Amino acid sequence: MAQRLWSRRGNPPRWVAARLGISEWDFSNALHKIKEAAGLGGADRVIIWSDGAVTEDRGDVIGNVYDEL
Amino acid sequence: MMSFDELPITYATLRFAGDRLDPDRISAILPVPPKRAHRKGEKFHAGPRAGNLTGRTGIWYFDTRDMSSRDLADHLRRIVELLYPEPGNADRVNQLRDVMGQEHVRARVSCFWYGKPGGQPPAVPEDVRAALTSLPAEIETDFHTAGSPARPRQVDL
Repeated sequence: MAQRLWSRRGNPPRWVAARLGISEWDFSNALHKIKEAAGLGGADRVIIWSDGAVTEDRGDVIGNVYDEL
Repeated sequence: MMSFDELPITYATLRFAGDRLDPDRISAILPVPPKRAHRKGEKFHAGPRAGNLTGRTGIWYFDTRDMSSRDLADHLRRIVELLYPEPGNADRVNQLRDVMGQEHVRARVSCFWYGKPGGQPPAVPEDVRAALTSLPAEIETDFHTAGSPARPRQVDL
């Protein structure tokens, strides 16, 4: 079962990328694309899971980091 | 995955969003296929891991991630060229304004840049800023430098 890694506003810290096993820049790049394509902005809160899933405040999946690498 | 030597990486995005947006209307104006387009509540495929998702709002989304330039200005000028095919030609922008007004849609351009340690983040050229704000499009910068905490995002309108 996937674990919740991050659930705050703004840019996640570097250790989140490390937990996902990818570089910081690949992670930031992927997360930026996922949020923009979902109609969210940088300040919007998202939740990042250990399987790469990204969910928004209501719990709906808006993308997966690994799909954007 | 990219290596450290390939930094900086950069791209720009153009997005129209709104609960009433019919993305086909944007596609009828702009000469590029969107990388994502759906109405609110419409199902779409977001990738092999994410699977099929439901649009939380209407979206027409394009980005320049397939451009090789490491200069953010090149990416932003690609976006401006979509809006203004030549200087002074505001036909597309006028049509987009009509859609934005009729369907309560907001336009937004975001700038992503990730540089090497000590790298100097780029600036948004003033002519680009003027062209985008005249749509009007909100501009957001998301700049990072390897090994440093992320810079606070900035949003201009």
